[in-house]
Amino acid sequence: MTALEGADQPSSPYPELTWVAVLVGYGLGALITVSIGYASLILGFSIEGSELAAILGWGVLRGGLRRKSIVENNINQTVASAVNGASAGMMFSVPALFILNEQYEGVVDFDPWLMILACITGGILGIAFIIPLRKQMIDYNRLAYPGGIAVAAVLKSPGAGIQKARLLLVGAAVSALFHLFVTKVVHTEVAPVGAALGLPAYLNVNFYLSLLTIGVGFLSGKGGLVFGIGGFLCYWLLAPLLNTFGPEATQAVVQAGPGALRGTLFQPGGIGILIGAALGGVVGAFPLIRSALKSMQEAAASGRGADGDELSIKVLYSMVGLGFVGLIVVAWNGSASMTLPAALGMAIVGTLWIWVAGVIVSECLGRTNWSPLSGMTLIAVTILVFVAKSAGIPTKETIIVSVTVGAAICVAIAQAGDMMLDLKSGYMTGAQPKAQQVGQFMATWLGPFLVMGLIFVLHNKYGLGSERLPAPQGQALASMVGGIVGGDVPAFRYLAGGALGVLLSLSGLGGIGVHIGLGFYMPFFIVLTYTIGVSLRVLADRTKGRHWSENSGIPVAAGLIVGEALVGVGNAIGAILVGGGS
Amino acid sequence: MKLVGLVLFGVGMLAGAYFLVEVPDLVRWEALGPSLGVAGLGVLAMRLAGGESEAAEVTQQGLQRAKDALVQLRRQMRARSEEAIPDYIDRALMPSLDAFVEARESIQRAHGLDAYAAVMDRFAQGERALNRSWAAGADGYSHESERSFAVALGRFDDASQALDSL
Repeated sequence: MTALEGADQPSSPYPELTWVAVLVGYGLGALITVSIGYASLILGFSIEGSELAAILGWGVLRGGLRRKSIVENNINQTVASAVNGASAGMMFSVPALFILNEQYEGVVDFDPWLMILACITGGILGIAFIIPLRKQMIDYNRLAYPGGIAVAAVLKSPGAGIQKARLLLVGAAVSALFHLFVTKVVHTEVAPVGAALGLPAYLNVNFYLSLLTIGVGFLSGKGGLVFGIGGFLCYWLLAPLLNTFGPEATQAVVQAGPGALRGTLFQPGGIGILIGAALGGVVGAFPLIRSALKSMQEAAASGRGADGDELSIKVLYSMVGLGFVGLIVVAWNGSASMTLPAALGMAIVGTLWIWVAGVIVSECLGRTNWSPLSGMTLIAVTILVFVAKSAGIPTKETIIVSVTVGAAICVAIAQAGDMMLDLKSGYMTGAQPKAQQVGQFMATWLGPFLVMGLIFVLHNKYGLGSERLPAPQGQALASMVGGIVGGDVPAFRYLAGGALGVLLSLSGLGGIGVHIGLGFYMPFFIVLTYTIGVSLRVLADRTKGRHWSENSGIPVAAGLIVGEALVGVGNAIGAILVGGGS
Repeated sequence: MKLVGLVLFGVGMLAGAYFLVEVPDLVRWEALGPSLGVAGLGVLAMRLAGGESEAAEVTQQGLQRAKDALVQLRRQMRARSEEAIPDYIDRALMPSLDAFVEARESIQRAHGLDAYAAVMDRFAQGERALNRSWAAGADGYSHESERSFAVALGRFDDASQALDSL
């Protein structure tokens, strides 16, 4: 079938930002948000919903409503994944209050409406801050955004020719079956190869049984090889050195295994490296950011979009101003003991951190498809607790207001990353950035209402933190908040890591700081499997040529991502059905 | 010079990474500081070596490849026959687009980030318009496909002009 077969509307306007796309996006977004939100309370991690939204949108828009527009489906997935952005942000933060209630009685009595307002405000801020960096990250630096490539491959599949569509489907089927096998038969997602070979545990030779991860590595290309360096450095060089030459206390940590090593030493260092590298990278890329802003400001002054379709910088400035005022209102109402200077301080810290963390997460997603969302939220809550405690606010209220503003920041970071992923898929399908940006803003309000309702319904039925609904992310944040309130924060390691990160960003070796920081931060079994995907791409480029990689390899890799994501969501829906019947 | 810088940077960073995680409850700044100092010297040496003549020659070759790719791309876009636009983009234009993307960093090395941004701004607008032309063509909206194809050509002309004016 050639690309133009079936052409029937040669001169009609090309549908893009339509009410049909937005409403279908709301519907699919609600479905995905509830499914993924519920799953994350059980599994402990969230799933990006863009691929599923694109596929379901394909079925609803093309199959059900007989609409034929790739860019309209792109708006549908943009809206749906923006609704789901609240799930990623809120499921990490809000359950912590329910869990902390055992230790600090009364923190569960937070104002849910204020929490919803906080999360909507955060979403608006996150999107408004990240849009001006679209040109720098996507147009100038051409970051890969493997997730965005996969979504674009799905969106373009109706016109990409039968061969590519078939490859995508084959990849999706293989990945889905493999993931089903892993989750339903093997019951472990990590292959302990090192233990089988008799290697020391601290070398952490374990592989993540995930074809999605291999697909992401393949889409990242040879640039992704650097991602492994941080992980290899940690577990194959530093761990043996520490085991041999380190102090006794460190040797005990090494002997306790990779989990202790990562939690105590590597992850805090990685967070510091990420922050330092991202801040250094922003300084280094300042001419590019200035050019992008100048282009948008000139467009605003002349009354047109930068290229006819960019959202006006004046609108974005207004959104940032509105969001900042919103954060002041949230902080002010978050505690009866709140003072105006403290509320102002929390809003300033929150707003600045949303910008910094948004840049970090967007760059990490662009280079590797992984987001240090939890680490960035942890830092935010740490700073907020410090500000609130310094203002003399009682501990219980400090926790409530810090987690409330922290939830706003978490949603903001999630929305920023999602916006960038969507803009990448939009770039590859020829979408107008302005249409996507408007679509993202139009969907920011819905997710917080849905997720807040879901949290209360589930808590009343099962109890958050119970065996039935463990909420692992909330547990992690709760234990960290408990530590922060008690003054137990490895700030020294964040600072030292930050110094390393700044130097890495100044090296001129593009993006190496973010890669190495993520290597320290991420579980090594993911890094190892990801490196397999990258190696396969390098091998394919060398032996079969780039043409083969782009026309055969990339559709299969995109399919690997889609298949596993679909099974993940299917498992979530299954869990909901089982839960409802129990 | 560059090799020396790289070695200093590597040694300093490895030592720095070790002292970053050496002790669970603290960081020994008296050991970490000098390590970062060595790494910093390496960065300085690498940056000073950036302007060496051998690198400049390679940069000029890359710059020429970028210019040639844009010329070739625009020539092929103007020479389009009756072939369907999506098929034509996939078959005839992708190699030139890829060639430009491969060579683009030489613009930054030769003329700095501002000049790079000026060229890439126009190129990216062109590439996005071309992608839209592909999508609209595949969906059967031939008017939009033709219009976007023309927009893309205009943007690539602008990019080429910006590159030639450097």
